[in-house]
Amino acid sequence: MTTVIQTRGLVKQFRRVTALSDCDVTVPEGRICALIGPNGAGKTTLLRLLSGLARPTAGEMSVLGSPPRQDPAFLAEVGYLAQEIPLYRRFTAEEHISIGAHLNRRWDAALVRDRLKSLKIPLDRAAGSLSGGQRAQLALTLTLAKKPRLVLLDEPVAALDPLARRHFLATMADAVAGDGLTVVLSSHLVADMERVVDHLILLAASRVQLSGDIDVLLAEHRVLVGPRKDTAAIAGTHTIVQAMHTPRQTTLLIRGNAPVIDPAWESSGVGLEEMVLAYMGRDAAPATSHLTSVGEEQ
Amino acid sequence: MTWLTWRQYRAQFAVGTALLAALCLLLVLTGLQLVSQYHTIITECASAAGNGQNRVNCSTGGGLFVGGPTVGFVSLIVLATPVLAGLFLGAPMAAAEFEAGTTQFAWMQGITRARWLAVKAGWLLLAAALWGGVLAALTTWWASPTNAEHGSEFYPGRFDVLYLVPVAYAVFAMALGICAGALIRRTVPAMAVTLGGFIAARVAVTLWVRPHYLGAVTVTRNLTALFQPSGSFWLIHQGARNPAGQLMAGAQGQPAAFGVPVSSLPRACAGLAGPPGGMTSSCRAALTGFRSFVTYQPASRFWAFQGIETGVFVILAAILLTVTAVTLIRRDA
Repeated sequence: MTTVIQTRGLVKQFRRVTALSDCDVTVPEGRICALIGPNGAGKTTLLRLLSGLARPTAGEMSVLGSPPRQDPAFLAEVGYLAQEIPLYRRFTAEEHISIGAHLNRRWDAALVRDRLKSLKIPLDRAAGSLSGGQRAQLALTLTLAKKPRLVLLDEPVAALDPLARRHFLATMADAVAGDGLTVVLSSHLVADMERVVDHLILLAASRVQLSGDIDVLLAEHRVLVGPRKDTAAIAGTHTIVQAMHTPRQTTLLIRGNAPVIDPAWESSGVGLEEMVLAYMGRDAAPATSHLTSVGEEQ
Repeated sequence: MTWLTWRQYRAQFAVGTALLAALCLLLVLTGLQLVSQYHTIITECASAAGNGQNRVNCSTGGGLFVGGPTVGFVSLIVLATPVLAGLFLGAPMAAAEFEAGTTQFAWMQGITRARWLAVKAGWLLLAAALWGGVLAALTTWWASPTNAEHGSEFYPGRFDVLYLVPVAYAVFAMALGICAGALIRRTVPAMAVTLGGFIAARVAVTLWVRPHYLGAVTVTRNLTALFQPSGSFWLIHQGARNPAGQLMAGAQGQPAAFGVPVSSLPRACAGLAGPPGGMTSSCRAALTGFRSFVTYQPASRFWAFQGIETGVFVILAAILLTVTAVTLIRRDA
């Protein structure tokens, strides 16, 4: 299995703010990887480092076999779509296609035209006059027209309505299905993309909290429900990700493959969103306040 | 990349060309007028020569003066023109793309930032050089009657609109705009810095650097001996010293002779304050030891100065472009 992205001890600092610290992630080839985290977690920073638009303060990166660099060979293999969907406002889609054709050695203009036609996006209108959804589709299509091996998308669906989201993700999934493309797309919500992603990187407070193939991660995690009691025994064999207590009952999210022997615990599988929220909540709130509103709702 | 540059700048190019055409029209119209005035003066002087008047008297004493306010006004426009290209094309080059976020689009296509900069800046600099060149050529023709009459082509304000230097100013202004835009990343502040920087550099070089490109020539004579350097020289400084070697104050409205107040001359020369013919042999003897001096750049150095000034601004432009390249390549997009 080929590794497309590997980082080790990646750090990015802006003056006094640390946007990313000790970031170790691995993404194998052909995955659609969700980069999940709350706002300000460092998602954009990580994507910009991987694309070569920004340089790390410390640490190492290997993207498609070498550190990101300003070099036509590297740039040809990596597609990047920034969060603000940068397009030339006064240029039409057709003119954007021409730009791509002039600036890239490999360029599939027909692909762009076909996709835009099927999405009913006009080729002759200025990008600035298109709707948000149309702009995002145009920008994604242009990113894919390069035929990159790795596509980095920063919050591509954040500005879209639910229907446009679905269309956008479908376009992307379509593209991936064909050629062993690897995609990393960031979002602050996992629900949006649960159906299309198969790999997860969870960032919170500028650190990686969780990363791996989603089915493996889900298999490693379990929810335990039992009478309110001391959790020390469980903590000895498993990692307690989150503990929620009501006066009579304790609910735990644990990680680890060892069996749970105590019959007082009722064990069940965990959903992706639940797991993600547990990790995000764990970091966002201080360690003492595990009695969260989330626990009371349950 | 060339295609993209053309597509991005074709509107500005059209506006720039229209402006240049308007300016050319202004120069041609006023220039033709200047030429006809000059011909009138030449003709009148030729007839006046029969009356024993020299050329200086003919043009100034005779009340004939080529151009008048028009020359000053048009010169000002031509002086200011090079900065416009830097303001409206140079400053937004990188800054507008940073503001719109499109650097993140352009720099993730299959070309490097270095290439992106080289092609874009290259075309803009070429356009600036052409713009400056056309303007300089026309202005040189336009200014020839006044230069012929007054021998003023070496003077600041006139030197700056002739021959080579306007091309260098335009290239410098463009480079300054590009650099400011790349460093500041916001169009309007970059334009402000370009404008301020251009004026500062031009004023500083004109006042403090240009006079020293080559050591000025100083000619010292007896106070009574008239001295006028030949041709279109550039007068840096002139004055008089008393026998003790002290610089004498200017006349400033007092009765004067030889450019200094009569009151500061020996008593024997008091008659100089009166009607002409007050010069006596005793005064002439008393003035021994008084010296007048003229510090100037000879007319023969005009082309050397044009070359050096052009070199200075081209080198400044090269430095700015190097800073731009290093910044764009090293800094995060």
